[in-house]
Amino acid sequence: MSLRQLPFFIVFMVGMCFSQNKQILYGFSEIPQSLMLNPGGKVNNKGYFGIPLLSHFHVNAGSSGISAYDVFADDGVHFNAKVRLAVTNLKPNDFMTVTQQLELFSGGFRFGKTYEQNEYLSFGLYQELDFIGYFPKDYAILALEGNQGNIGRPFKLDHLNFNTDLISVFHVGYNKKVNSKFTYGFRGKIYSSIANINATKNEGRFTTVRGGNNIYQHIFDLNLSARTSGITSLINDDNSDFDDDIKTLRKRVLFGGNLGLGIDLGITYQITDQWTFDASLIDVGFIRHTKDIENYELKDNFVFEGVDPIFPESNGNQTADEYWSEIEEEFEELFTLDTTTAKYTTWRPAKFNASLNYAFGKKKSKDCDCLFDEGGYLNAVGGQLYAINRPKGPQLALTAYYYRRLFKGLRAKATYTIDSYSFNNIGFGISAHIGSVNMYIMADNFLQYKNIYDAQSVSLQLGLNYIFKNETGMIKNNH
Amino acid sequence: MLTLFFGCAKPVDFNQLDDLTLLPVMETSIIFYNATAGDFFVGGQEENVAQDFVFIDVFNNGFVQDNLVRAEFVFETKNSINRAYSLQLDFLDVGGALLESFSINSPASPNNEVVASEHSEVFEGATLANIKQSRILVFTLEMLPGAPINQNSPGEIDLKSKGIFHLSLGE
Repeated sequence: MSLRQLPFFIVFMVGMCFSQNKQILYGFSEIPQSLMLNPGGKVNNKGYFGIPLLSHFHVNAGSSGISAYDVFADDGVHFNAKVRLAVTNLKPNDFMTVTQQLELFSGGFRFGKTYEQNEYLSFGLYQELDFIGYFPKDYAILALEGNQGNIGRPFKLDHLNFNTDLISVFHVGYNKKVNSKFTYGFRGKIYSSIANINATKNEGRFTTVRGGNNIYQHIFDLNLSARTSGITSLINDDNSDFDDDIKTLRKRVLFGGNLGLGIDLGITYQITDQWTFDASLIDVGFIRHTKDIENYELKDNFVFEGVDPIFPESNGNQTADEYWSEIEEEFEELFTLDTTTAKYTTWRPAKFNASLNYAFGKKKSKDCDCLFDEGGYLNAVGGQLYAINRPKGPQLALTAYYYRRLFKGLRAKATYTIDSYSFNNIGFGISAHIGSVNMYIMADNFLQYKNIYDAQSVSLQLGLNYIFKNETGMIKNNH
Repeated sequence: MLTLFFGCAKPVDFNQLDDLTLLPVMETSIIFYNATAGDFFVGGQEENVAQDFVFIDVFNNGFVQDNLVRAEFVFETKNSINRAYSLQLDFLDVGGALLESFSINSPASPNNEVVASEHSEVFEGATLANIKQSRILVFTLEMLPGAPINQNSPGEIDLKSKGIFHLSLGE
């Protein structure tokens, strides 16, 4: 991999804009991976193992304020005009996110002292790519317009704000059903960072104002920094052999990267037979970056108002060229990047989930094919809240859902979500149990599928598990 | 569901990215000076010519060479000295050969009231290519003949200037 490939990568991400919310999977307790969203969720299997590499795949992409179609539509409008309109409409808090996860392996089993076996241990290893980038509005305006029409306007340098993480996560979770009302759980995580690039602490501004000794004063107040780990050794290595890079990456997946720790917490509370409340806190943790670090800093203040070539005030005997050279040096210094290898810590984007659920509609006994738990309800509706902590503050999503048990282990869930991306996100997911195999697939933003490029966010999850059923041979609906 | 996922898309053309052209206009302060009439009376006599030069490197980089499509220099002078002035700017290449030259004239102010004047020079095409080739800039400020001045003569001359640089990126 070389730096030259980076622009393509960035263009890809701008074009494909991807978030982290898994509103359809949340609370879908027939699917073992729902425990990853709430370690204190209900468990209704004796054990399971995920089919390696196939047990959970997730992509989620979103951009607030704009879709790929807005800019790239093949509609005869000149591209420059569309870009200009997009830059005008977007706000500096608009963002793009991309999340992708792939479970390498996972499993779980029930245990406990009593015959009830009310404890459950689950574990696994997954890889995650997480990108968030805010729209660098003032940089875009400067590039589009220059400073000519913007005299007196500060170009805010904090508009450049992004973070990219490529990590692997090893986790072990514990879940306990304390009694018929209350279940809790927690999950410990070891993060191994494969690569990180972040620029979330930029400050300063560039302003052109009228006045002073000349027509304009250009005020540079620069405090920019970017931090990277795991990148330098891949770019600067002498080999051009991609296989060698892959080997390096493979080591980092297995605890060879920069390490970190985290925890997930969750509870479920059965309020009544029909009402349930649950909540979870996911990825409360950090990664300590100590190896393979390269950081860049640009910190300086400078006011430039041109040069006085004939009567330099600085001192009487200086020639104009000496005076000019001094200014040139100042400029060079101003834009000189300092490179450091200082260790740093990044915080994982912590997520909060909560839901209130109402189950209803028992199957009539005459229709009972006795595959279902007698106490189970066929339907559930509820509301879910999702929040994720991001560099410029939390982002929220609200979901209303309808869940239905169909027949022979087939369950479906439909969701309606309001978030930063849109007010009309319809999602749909199904989970099927065929023998001991559990298959699930879920996606959202169905209203946008008539034109996928006009979707401001898309999300897809699918997976395959082998389930050890409860002794009764039934899959309980504990949704 | 996968078919649905990938099935429907109105035409988009990601190659449009190649058509992106940015046309920012940057304005920057360039030279300035401020001098009193007395500054032109040195050692008991009038000093009519002040000259100096600077080596300029600002045009000597790929970004400016490739993307600068128009340069305009704007000069604003205010003179309250009873003498006219001429500031000549000579753009020389690295070997010292003259590429471009122009002068900014400030009329005299017989009653010492401020006489404002503005001057602008536009460089495009061949003349801009000359500017991009220049590496030495010579300033010659000349006090033109007129009523004699001394240490105590009233008035001052003030010059401010800016460059307006039109860039075209991405073509």
